[in-house]
Amino acid sequence: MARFVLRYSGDTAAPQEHAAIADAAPDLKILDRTPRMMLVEGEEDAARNLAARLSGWTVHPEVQYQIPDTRKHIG
Amino acid sequence: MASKTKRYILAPVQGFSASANNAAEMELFAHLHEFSLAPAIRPLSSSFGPDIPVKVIDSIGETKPKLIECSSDDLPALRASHPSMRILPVVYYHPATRPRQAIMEAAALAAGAAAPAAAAAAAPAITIQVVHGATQTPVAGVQVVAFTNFAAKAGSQGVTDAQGRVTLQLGGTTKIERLYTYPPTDPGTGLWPGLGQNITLKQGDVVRLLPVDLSFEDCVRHFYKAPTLTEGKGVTVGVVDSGIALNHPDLHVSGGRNCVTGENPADFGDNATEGHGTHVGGIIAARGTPPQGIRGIAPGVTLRSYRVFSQGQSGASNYDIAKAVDAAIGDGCTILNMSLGGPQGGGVDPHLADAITAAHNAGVLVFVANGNDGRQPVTFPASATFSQAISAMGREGTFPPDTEPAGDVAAPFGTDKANFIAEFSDIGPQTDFTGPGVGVISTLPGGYGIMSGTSMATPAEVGAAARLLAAQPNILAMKPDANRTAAMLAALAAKTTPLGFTPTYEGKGMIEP
Repeated sequence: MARFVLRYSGDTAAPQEHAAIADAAPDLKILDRTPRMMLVEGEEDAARNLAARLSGWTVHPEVQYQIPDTRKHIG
Repeated sequence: MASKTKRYILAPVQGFSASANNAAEMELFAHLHEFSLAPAIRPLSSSFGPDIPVKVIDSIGETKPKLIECSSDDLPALRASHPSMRILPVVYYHPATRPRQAIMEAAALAAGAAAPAAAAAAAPAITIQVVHGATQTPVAGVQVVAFTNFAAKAGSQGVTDAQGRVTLQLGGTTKIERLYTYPPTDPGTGLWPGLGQNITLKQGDVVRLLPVDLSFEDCVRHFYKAPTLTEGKGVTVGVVDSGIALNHPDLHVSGGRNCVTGENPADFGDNATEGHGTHVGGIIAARGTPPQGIRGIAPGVTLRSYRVFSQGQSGASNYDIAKAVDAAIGDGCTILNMSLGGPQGGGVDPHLADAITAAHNAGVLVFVANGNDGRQPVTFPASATFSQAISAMGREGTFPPDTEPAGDVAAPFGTDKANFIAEFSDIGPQTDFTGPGVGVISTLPGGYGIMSGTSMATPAEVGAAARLLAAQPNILAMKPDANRTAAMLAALAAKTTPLGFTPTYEGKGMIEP
């Protein structure tokens, strides 16, 4: 199981019916959503299948970013 | 330093073709297409100086991407002059050959290191104490790092206990090349991090940390002097970070959102981890008066906090960051500060790149820290096409002797030889500006303290940008789209001064106060 980000590339909020399609997607848990994005948990194929069914959406793995540190460390 | 001619791809702001709705973009791409019909070095107009010599080698089509050659030194001016196009590196792919010699060398090193490591572990340890330089009271929670060999990153480290004591396993040696002492930053202790160089440690030694004088002229206050409380008024700055302390007397946070998935959206205050966002927010907009408090560069801005780091976790998700960028656009922010980054070699994250492009197209500037890996390439998302990437510089004489910033002094030095690009700063052709980021005094939860990094240089330039743009009401009143972004960048570029480091290190230079 991994987490994936789906982002709508249109100029406005995603169509309402897309939310219902995402809610009904098998093997995917919707963790969070905004008018233009969804964070889902599940297998990569399931996330990509959902994005393929929704016109105008892209899917990418969730990535973590850090605060750049200047402290020195051993090793 | 000689400039290097490299190949780049010029692409439309979005997609593969210039937009029919953007006449300037269509005209520029058609113009470049004509250049490609007879490739030669030709002048491309610059808004900020002489024309830029560019060779258009190939064009996929009249409205489609171009392959060009130009000097890497000209990239900042090219980006600033033609913000309606993306400048992308040419990427080459290679057969996936397996590594050979490196594995054998690593194995040999590991075998050779085993015996000395065993002997070092048996040697007696040294316990030292860290105290407050004025009150002589013990300081708990100080991270102590003792390098016996700084280049090899060898030595011992630990954290002081309630009596300010820490025990170091130094393998029998007492000669220390560098002894770093980092006081806690949440709550702020008001102490400078210490640095002892080429010292001999003995049992029971006491290290004294110097208290911060809030009226001391650090590197930020050297370059950006005495702002009034109204400077920056009319500009809204969003800080995408670990949250900003809402109860600090020097800070006024107008609003924001906690964008961490699963947490309370209203909890956009400091995440009680290291005070990073509070320090960043103070550099931009602190409203105190020394010596009782501290003053940021643009205290008149409307400051908003978008928290993307959760409590107790060091990573921020690209989803949460993109959510923060979208929210900040919706809230009417003019400038975003992102003092965060991915690992070296992490590549482009298309999702976050899209969010930054969306900000660009919504008339919002996004300033991002280059990263602190020490002269390594600019990390993502600073390297994203529409990010304003910020390196860190420092100035000798703006930190006390025997404090941590002394270890960050390194070549190159500027036209003024007291200025230097910080040893930790990442560099590269994506760099747009440099800012003061070595030994910066700012707000921390419950007090004040010192931090260094491109994380600090970024809000310094955000504050400077806000001051300048506040004096440009006609630009701020423009429709919030890519044209406003271009106008803001043009206004900043016109007031940016090179400090003599060359563009790889400083981009166009430092935004003038």
